[in-house]
Amino acid sequence: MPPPRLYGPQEMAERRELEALFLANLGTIGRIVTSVSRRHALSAEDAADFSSWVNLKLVEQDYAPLAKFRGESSLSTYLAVVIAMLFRDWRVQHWGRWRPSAAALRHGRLAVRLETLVYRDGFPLGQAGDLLRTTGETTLSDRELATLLTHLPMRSRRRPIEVATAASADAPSPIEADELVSSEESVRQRMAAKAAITTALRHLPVEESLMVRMRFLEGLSVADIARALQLEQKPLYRRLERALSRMRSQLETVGVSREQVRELLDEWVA
Amino acid sequence: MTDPTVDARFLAALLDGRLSQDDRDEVLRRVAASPESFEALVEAVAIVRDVEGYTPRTSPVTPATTSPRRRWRSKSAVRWLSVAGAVAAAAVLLLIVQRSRRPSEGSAQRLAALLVSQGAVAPAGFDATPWAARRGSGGTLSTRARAVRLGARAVDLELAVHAQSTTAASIASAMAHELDAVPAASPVTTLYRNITRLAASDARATRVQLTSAEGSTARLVGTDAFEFGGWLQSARIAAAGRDRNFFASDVSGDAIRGARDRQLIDSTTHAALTQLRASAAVGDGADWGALAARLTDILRALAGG
Repeated sequence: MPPPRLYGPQEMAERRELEALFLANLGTIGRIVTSVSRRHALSAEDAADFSSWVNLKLVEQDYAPLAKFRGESSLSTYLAVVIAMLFRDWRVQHWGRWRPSAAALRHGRLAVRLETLVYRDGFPLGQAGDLLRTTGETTLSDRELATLLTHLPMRSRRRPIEVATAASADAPSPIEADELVSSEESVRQRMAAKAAITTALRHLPVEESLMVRMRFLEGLSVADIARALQLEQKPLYRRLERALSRMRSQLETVGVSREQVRELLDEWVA
Repeated sequence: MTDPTVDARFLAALLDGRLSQDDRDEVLRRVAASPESFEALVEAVAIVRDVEGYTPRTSPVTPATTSPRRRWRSKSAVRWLSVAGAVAAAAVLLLIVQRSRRPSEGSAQRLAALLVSQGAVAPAGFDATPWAARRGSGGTLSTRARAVRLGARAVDLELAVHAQSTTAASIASAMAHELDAVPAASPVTTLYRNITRLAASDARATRVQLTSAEGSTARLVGTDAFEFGGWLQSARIAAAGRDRNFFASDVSGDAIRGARDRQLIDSTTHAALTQLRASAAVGDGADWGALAARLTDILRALAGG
């Protein structure tokens, strides 16, 4: 344990001011943590852990995050940004670089939970369904959950899963060989398309590139984008259309067919 | 801004429309180049919408004409404004808590913050309880009396932790002892025992445990009586410090009215408290000693004496 730090009168006074600031804003901090936990569909256990972790980080090093605040914004907005950044650190520490896909966030809490259980935690769909129904998070059948899963991007698993050897030896594979080949081909095509889109985005002006990423990759509403970029909301719809049109042209110049472009962008816009 | 990751202050200023046009363009350029900053901005705008429920802008934002760094040069002024804002926020939060009657989160913390922010210094012996110590662990104590005791002790504990006083450990231990008689309280008791262990050596860990412990205790024993116990103890300390502002605040008015509405006190006690509050709020000529004594009597009576 490090030796106790000695404070001078000035330092002590500043420290007390920061402590008072922290205490007075506990309610705001709690609401922000709840919002993050809900948005990322954290389990009750993870949400409690994240909450404690945020409090710890805010008081660490003599309330360093609060000491940095200089009044450039409202304190609640500043805390929202700080806690958003802290969530990223917490997530990387606990789950690696996993985060819910934009598609899952668009489809809501159940989709985020399903994606997390299947792709992050490595549960088979049936077990994930059992878990979600047992905890009262859904009444959907496995088939309905499978349909929901098809709307989410395929992702590699973060954690190794134990496979029961007896079951894997005897049970027929649920996926036929042809389907597997077709699926791998589909993944290759998607990766190529993603690379083409990344390139096309780089050709857009900064503001439009951010707009498109926020709208179609992160699923933000136009109102949210207007707030994030400090732009008027109404003309944003037209600007987004123009940006997509430019991307279409760019994608076609790098050899992506008109049909593929339409398919890719339609999938985004849907 | 040489680091590619944009500082939280600039992202927040962007969201609040407080950047100059040049600074805004620079921040956006960096956000576009930094996946971490982009993710933080996307996350933060969703949080702000959720927490504030803001109305989308329908007209262009008028950007600030100077950069935030230039406008907010004076650190002490900012500190002052921050603390003033925090005090106002604390009062508003208390008002909301008192009126909505949802399970309390941090009422003792906010009361302690209110006392501290107004310069109150806990008098020597502030943590001496006005009730008989032996009855604390007895099973005969009413639920309400136990809640009042714990609410009062929660304020004591907050002030002791804030002042880094060695009494924090003994107060936390006494609270754990008090909770031993409450069914299903063992997880909360553990938090107080952790505080007993950590108070002298690890202020940060103590603060985290304390935040969890207070909210859980209020829910466990009853929010109304817990909070009123906290207010009575705060009022005793404010009276000892001749703190007019504490009694003049809406927090005090709401606490007294709330206690009457929820039948924690009868109409006679309500009238007495209202009169005492009025004389304390005016300040001049108030008999602070008599006020403290009367508050102590009321606390003792409610806490099962």
